[in-house]
Amino acid sequence: MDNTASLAGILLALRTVAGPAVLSLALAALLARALPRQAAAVAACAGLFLGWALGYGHQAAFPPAQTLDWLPILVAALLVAGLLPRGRTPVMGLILALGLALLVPPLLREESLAVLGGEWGVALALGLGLMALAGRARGDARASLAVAAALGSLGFVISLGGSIVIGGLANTAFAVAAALGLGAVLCGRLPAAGAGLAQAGVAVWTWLAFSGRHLAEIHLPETLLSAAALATLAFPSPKVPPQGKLARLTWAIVPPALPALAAIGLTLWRYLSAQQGAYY
Amino acid sequence: MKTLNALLLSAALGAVPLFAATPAAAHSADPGQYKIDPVHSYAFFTLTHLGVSRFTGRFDKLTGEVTADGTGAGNKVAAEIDISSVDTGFVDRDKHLKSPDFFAAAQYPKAKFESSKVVIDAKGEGTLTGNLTLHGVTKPVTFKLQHIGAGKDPWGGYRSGYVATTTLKRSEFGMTFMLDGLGDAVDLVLNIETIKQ
Repeated sequence: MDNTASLAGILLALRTVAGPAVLSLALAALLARALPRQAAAVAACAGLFLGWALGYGHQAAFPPAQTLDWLPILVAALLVAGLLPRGRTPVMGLILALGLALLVPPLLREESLAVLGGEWGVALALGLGLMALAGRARGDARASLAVAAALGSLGFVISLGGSIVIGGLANTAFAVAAALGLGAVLCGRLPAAGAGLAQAGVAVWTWLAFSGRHLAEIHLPETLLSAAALATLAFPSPKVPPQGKLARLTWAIVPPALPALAAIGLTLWRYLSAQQGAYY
Repeated sequence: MKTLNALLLSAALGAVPLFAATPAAAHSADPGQYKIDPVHSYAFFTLTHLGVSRFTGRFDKLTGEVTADGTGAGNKVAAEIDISSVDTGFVDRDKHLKSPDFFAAAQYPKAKFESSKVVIDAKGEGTLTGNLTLHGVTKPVTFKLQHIGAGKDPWGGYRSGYVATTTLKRSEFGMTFMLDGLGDAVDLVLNIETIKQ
């Protein structure tokens, strides 16, 4: 029996999640000594590009025609900005503002400029607020894992809620953030993703969430629950850091995982209650 | 009850002129300008699902203009399909079809067809050739054309209807998502009713 068609979705998920995660980890390990400051950013960038190429590249255009064609440029700009010694946050904010603005023109056919302008402003404010929280991370794995949880839940919500392509891009970003975050916690030799990379991850989350809301019509509660995973970075760090790998991992992963799992659960419940079986 | 009976009777009597005025089939439309009646026109698409069955959806908003000149040389068709009107009987799937995975409706909200040549014989059969723009890509397409009929409608107007069918490859229009599971070849059927202006 030819299972090519039925396995296509699973194979796509493996390509866009496992491939980028492995590449990011391998590059981070390879570059850890030669480029200690840049290794994580280069590894993340390579992983995201690979996932984008495998999941969307076959229909990409240059110069960019569709909004998703802009993603590699946006990611590259964010990661370069993340390496700036000074003024990183304002530059990233500007890149995020421009990235969100790129999504607006095609949507003006359906919505008014006032409505979309308002939503653009809310998305930018949310993104900047969450970026400020991520910017407080100082080399610990907490920010990476919060970014991973938010991107993972967003990927699930968008994939099941309307677009496998946009969801796949979020899943790729999740895989890269999770690989780098877990790698840094479990293996001391790997470079920890710094605040700049965490902020870039938040900007990518904001951009994909805005895309998901307007291009795939995902629901607001799930989007906000996914954002809540990032908002857990506002919790103060303990005065005495947890001892041991497992304790550190639990302390870093549980707070963002709870709202992320709630977003996934709500999406799953909505999906199963709306239909008898998968329509794909 | 009397009121209900009176209502039913008046409705039945009122319906008689409608049926009496139903257009008779004729395989030549009066020359002139026609507008596509969006309420009685649909674009249906059918493709294979997982290689085991055939799946059909439709677009509910089809608009445009038809010029019938009687001889054939001046026949023209210009039509537009509103991509956001896609309807497969399943809201979540419609949402998915409108996403960047397939039609990317926000980016490419309309599919457009502009004819370059319309040939139709005395039996009402022929071909409709022109450029189809879908998903931002324009390609020449030839439809098999059948004139269903023409005649007066119950409201004093004049209508003419056609069915145009073709098969296209969605990958040629840049729609390459899930080609493993959803067929590349898409049968397109346009059921068009036009009203003379």
